[in-house]
Amino acid sequence: MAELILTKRMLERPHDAHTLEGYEASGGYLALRQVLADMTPEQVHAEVKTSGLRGRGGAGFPAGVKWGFVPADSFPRYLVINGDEGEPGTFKDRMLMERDPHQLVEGVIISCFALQAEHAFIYCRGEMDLAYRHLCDAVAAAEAAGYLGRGILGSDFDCRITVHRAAGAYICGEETALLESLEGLRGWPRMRPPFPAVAGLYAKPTVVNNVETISNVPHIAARGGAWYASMGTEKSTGTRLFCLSGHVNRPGNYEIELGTTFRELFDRWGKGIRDGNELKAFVPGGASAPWFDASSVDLPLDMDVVQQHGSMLGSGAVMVMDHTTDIVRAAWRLVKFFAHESCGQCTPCREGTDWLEEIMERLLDGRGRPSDIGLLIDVSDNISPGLTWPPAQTTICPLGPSATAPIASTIRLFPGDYERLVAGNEDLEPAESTGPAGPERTVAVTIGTKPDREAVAHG
Amino acid sequence: MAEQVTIQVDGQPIEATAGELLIAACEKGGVYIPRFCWHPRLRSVAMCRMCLVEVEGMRGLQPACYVPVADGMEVRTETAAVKKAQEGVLEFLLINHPLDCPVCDRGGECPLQDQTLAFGPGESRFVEEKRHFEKPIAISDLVLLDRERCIQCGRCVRAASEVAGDPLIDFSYRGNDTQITTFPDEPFKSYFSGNTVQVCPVGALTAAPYRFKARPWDVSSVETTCTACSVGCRGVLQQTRNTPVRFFGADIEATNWGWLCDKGRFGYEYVSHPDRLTRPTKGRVPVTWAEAIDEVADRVEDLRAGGGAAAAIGGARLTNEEAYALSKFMRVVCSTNDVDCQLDDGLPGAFVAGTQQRATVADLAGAAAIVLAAPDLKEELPVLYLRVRDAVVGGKVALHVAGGRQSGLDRFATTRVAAAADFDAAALPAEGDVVVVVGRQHLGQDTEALAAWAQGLVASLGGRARLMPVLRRANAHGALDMGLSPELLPGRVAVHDHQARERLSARWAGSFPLEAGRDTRAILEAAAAGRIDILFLVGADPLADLCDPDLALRGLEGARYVVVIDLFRTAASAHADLVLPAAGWGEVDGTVTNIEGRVQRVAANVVAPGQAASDAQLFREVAEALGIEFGCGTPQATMAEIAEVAPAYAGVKASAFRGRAGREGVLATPGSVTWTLVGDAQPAPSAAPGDGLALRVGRRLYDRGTLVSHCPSLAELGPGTVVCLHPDTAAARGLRDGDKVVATVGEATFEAAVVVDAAAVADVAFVPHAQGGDPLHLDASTTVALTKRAS
Repeated sequence: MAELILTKRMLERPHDAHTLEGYEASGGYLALRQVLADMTPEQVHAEVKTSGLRGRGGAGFPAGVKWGFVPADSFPRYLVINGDEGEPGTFKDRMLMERDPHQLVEGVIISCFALQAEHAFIYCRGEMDLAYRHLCDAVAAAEAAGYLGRGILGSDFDCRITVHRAAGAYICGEETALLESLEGLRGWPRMRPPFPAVAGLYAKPTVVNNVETISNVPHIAARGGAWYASMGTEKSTGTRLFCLSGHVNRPGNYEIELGTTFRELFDRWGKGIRDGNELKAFVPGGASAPWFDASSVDLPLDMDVVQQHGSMLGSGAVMVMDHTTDIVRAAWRLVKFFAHESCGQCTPCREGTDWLEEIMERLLDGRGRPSDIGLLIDVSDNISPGLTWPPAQTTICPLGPSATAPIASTIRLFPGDYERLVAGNEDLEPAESTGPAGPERTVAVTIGTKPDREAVAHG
Repeated sequence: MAEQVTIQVDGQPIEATAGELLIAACEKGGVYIPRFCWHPRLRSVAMCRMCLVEVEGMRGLQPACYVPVADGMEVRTETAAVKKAQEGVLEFLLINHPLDCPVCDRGGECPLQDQTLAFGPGESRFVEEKRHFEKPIAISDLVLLDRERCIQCGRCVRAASEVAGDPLIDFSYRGNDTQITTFPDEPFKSYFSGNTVQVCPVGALTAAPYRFKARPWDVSSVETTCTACSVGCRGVLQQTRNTPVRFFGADIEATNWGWLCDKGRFGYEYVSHPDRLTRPTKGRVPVTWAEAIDEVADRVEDLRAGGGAAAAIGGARLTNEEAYALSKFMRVVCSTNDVDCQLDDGLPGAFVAGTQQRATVADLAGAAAIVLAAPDLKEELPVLYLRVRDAVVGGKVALHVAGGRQSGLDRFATTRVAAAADFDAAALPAEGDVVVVVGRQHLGQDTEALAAWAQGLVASLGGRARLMPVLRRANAHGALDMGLSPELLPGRVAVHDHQARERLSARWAGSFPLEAGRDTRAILEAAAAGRIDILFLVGADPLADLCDPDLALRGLEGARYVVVIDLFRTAASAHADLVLPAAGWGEVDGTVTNIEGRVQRVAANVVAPGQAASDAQLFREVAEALGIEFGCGTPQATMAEIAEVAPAYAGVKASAFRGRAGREGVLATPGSVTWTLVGDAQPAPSAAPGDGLALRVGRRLYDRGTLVSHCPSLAELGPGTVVCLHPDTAAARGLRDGDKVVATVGEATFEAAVVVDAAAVADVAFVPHAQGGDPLHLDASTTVALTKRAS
């Protein structure tokens, strides 16, 4: 097992890792001193590229490559840290911001140096009060100590950090919605192009990185990209924080080397499935990720391998469900989340996610019709054509397609769980259309209120 | 010129301009891509997802409203994937749509209906409960919102914020609860709110005046020109059962781009008002038209025999053809040049008609700079405000504001000076066209000086200057062009122009003086002195509009015989010997001329009430009763005659208005009249004496004038009798917003409410004109004293 990188300090110094004293006492800001003394921005960028560090927010895009998209001669430019961690089952960035905020701050300063940005923003989820306070304290302490501000540590590098407390919308974790929100606008994802690297915050080149991603930067700067790349697999380097939740005996955040298998994660870190039950399904990478059943438990925690199997490591949230789980209800709960968090901008997501939720709810209420299973798939397909992963989408951002992931994957993996719910409900099917010969679809239009059993049956 | 490229759409080549949006290029090439949120005059947002197409080399489906075309682009709009996406989006849009089409104003002309029929799945699979909202809710005085019908396309939000600059509506809540809302305690108070109804692709936004009035298949429509002001916006007037029920903007590149102001949009209401004059009356006694014509003819005959004097005031409400008939009647039949379509409230007539390097509205966007020495355009010429705003909003065109009240355009201004005379031309860019917009900034203003200043500025800029003189009244520009001015003859020529008189003589069988006649003030002075035998008031009420109400009254009382031709009873008609009912906008065919000198058609769509008839008819019939061959039998005949005798209008022929190009009208060509300032410009008035404040009276879009007060939807929207003060000025007098004051102007007093307005000019009291109070005697040095009333 590789060493701990991100969580080492908070484990060794649980009481003062979040303070400047505790941080400095355990080697904090040495990386920044070293960078400012010995390295050029290009060298830092090169080390991050060499490290193979990939984004920890969900999409898993290599950070060094992303930084390279910023146009060479366009200033000012901004670094924005996405700390709007809000997906069900994901709780790692919060821990990093609460318990080791200086690690993030140092990462931001070094990253700004590499990007030649002089202003960074940390967009912190509004509900995370402690994280917000610790971040504010850390930034203030770093300023007082000369790690932030003008002419940092005697160099000619200026940098400041603004901590912004978000207002509670999941969609603002989408990078362009985050930028809109930061600008004081409604948190609606932007059409791309232009990409944020070209025209992001205030229409200036902007790099948006996740909290965990940037928390790795001081370590990479200090110890070299090659050191970091020596851990993990070829294209999934380093360690990652996995948020293990659900039916394991010991849920929690675990920093483990990439390439470990899910089985090891569940057994060694999670101490096995609860009550000795059987594993039925698990979500490999956050609420947006298509689910796996127990047959995928020996897959490695490797971004590319998981993607090849039709899902993603995403935000690193692994949710485990044992054989007692009502799969349809569990999927419904995630769909409900996405329907609630849809921003309402694009038609398919605004209307479709809510419709999916209502159909699922009807199924769970015992009012499902056999044709609803096909309907769920087709409605999902109208949001995410082909139901592939990574998704094709009819929408601006991937939130809509994310809502279809739990449905499409569970119908595929556990068709029986759905069929059981609609068995015997053939009489709920609507009457054949009596209108003029139309398309092959034959569901009658029902206007207004919820159909009751009799009215529909008698058509 | 942008690069022309060829793209392949469904295998067929389409010519397009590089960079234009795919959806627009396809439409021009004959391929219609369905859409809801995209509107050609609004920013693309790609929200509704209806216009998804496949573009070779681009992953997934692309919104055609967002993708710029590039040479060789291959686009597919009819594949199975595209069709499935279209059906999917339409099904999504309809699941929560109430489908109350049978009772929806939009039913029958609804883009959602139409595109569902063309691109939709035909049936819905939705059996859940639709979302419900309280409905409708009024979001402004004129617009109602039904949130159940709304498909969240945001066109209204963009029309309000981008086009009008009134960001007073926006989305609130999210996801399935997303809805259009106004801000708390802030109504959607915009002069352009009706545009949101027009761009709404469903029946979510409805106009209070039109709601439930008609179905689209029950109306008959004509395209016509709005005459609420002189911008000349094109629109479609619809009537059912001989009652106008709706007017909406037509997208004409030259003028209004499809937009209208609310006064223009809803101002059709007066046409069918029950108070319209429907038959001639003598005193309070109804008479027949024949009796009325006979009586006028007798009077005119006496006058012709005995050397008496006739005069006419007004004519800006008329079409060009009617104005021409009036002009001809006064000259040929009454042998006088005592005609004036302005009530001393515009600009010198010869200055306007004599404009040589005249600007078009389209010149605004192409200019390097705009100099605005004009009234608050938003209040007087609202769609011109939109076009100026569009030109200057991105900083593409520099704006220089020279005098006048502060307006919504000031925030875009590069320089601003308090009076036109203070403007420093050195602030203008060294190169590029400069458009100078000049108009009366307040009612008491010395516009001779203003015109001289504008003339000087234009002369100093040479060939790169363009002048846009703006008069507010409907067809004031056309009336001047038809010679309704004491110093002008039809065709922008001087009354003493021998060449012009020679041309007219072929059609004008009669003699009239070589010298300029009297203007409105002089006519009224003469009338007061008993020297006017017949006074025609043609759609004009000096008692309401002249800045000298005492003179107006003396004039009307002193005139021997007063004929009022109007749509409604007015203050002046009480002094009339004969009142004749006129047919007006929507009831007569003809042409009108806008601020650019653009001649556009107005079309009749309803029959005038009772015996109301075109003003031209009266003049023709009186002339013919006297045995004078008058012509002008039909608007078409008059139009042809004008083209014949007035070279500036030579191109204005019926054939010029045919087809697509004809919808933009015809620009009249410059005439030969010239204007110069006689004598010196008056010195600027000295500071207000004592504790009086300088008084400025200006127009607001909504007033208590004859037409607006007969539009029930608009009548109550004016500010009422108020005095607007700068915050410092108010504070210095211990006045607060809402305080009641007694204002004393000369011998007149009136009560008013104080409005503290940061846009007001310091040490000046601004009183909006015609808000229900009596007219005031005004000149450039008028002051007002304010006394706070104990509440």
